[in-house]
Amino acid sequence: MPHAQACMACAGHLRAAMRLGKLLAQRPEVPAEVRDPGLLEAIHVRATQSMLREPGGMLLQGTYGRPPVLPAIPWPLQQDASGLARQGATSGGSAPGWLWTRIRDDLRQQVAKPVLRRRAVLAAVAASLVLALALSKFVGSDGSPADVQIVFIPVDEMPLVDHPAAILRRGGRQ
Amino acid sequence: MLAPAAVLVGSLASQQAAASAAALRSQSPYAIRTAADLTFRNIAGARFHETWQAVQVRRFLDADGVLVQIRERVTVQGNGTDSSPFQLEFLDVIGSTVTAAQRQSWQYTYRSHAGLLHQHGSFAVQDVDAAHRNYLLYDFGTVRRAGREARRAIVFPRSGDKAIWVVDLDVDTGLTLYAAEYDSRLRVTGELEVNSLAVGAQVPPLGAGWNWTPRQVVDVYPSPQLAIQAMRSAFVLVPDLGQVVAEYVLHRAQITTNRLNAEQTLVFGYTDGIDEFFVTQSGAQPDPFANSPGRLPDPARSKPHAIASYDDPAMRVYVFHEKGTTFQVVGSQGLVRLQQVAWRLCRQAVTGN
Repeated sequence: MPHAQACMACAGHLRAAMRLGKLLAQRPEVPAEVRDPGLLEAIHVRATQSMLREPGGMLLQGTYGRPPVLPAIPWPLQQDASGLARQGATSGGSAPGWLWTRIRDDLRQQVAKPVLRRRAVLAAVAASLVLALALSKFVGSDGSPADVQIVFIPVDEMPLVDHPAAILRRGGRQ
Repeated sequence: MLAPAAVLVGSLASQQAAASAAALRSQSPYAIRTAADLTFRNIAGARFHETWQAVQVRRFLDADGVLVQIRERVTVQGNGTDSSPFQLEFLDVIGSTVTAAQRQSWQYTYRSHAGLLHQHGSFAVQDVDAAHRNYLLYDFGTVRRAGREARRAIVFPRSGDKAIWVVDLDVDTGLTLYAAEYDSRLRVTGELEVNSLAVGAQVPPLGAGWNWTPRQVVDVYPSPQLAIQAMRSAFVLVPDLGQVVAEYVLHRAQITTNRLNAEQTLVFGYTDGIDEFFVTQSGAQPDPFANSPGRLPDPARSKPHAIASYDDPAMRVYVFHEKGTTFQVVGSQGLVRLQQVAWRLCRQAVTGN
């Protein structure tokens, strides 16, 4: 007697497999939206545009022999990117492991840069305000810069001046 | 028989007084009979038009904020100019016991500074045209003051850093019978109230030497440049105040000379028509900041220039010393711009610009 007929569990597995097999043999209908060639083209365009801005995309451009379009990135990253591009263009082979590490770090910086830039701008504005307030004490009405340091020293005792109010204050104590 | 004669004499006397008052009322060109007569020109001219004498009370706050009331007598022999002979005498302190020493001290103060108190110690129109530009005059109808009919007015500054004045002006003569000074917070900072007024023939005869003469020699110059030239001090200057206090005009340039030691003080008086501030320059005085820490020699950095600053509800004062000359800028407390005036003056003294 075959085992599938003697073993009830295996008989059940065999019956499920035969049922699912028939279902899997039937190829499903592709949705109409996916059949639209414009959708695929839009995906390709979006992917290409994002890769152009990413260090990995620049690397691929270099790999395919075209000079990369480098953004205004500060030294020494800019040199590395140029070196990467040159290296990718000349070697034509797979990128070394340290390159992927550098790309990962660059991507992380790209994500954090807007926040850092905003904080830096706010800090610069605050510092400028503080400096302006400090200088305003010495800047004349015509806005000329303070080339003479003048300080005001408050005094509690009334100076000896010839003013009616001062004279009357001293009146009975001459 | 005597009684009817006495009644007749009394009647004649009263008729003469009434006639004198009527004549006076019709003669004074500065009478303020209606609101239309309420002008800065009338207020300014009334002080020097005729002979008058008043007993008045001056009220102010001392350094501790305590009210002080001084009764004084002022006599003016008007000649139509602001140099009319006058006398301002101390009479008494009201509301407190005064020792003999204090009374002597007050009398000395008035003998020494009567000119300053009389000409700059209360409400006065210093410059008619400037007053028109910088103040508004509001009529508040008639009141009674010192037993006389007066017209109440408010002198309101166009700028917020000036005092507001409430004044009662005698209808017949235009003289100020009452003046109260309010700061920008509407706190009274000073008062001058006339209790009695005698005008013209009512003033007792004035003997020889009755008027006040300054203890120092005072020479008034028509221009600041002429005053500068007359100073013997090595370093004085004509203040360049720029546009800080543009509404103020230089209305007085004088040199006061101490009769004892011939020490000269150059005084420039500025006014916006009512309010005043003064810039004084005097040489041959020690530098009060000579030993302050900021002035100690320090090769690592340049020494700052120090301006002493003082203010209380009645005034603000700035004092500094440059090139052997002590400079003072003194004015009313509300005029905060005086700090900038002092700064500009100090910078001008240091740099020459």
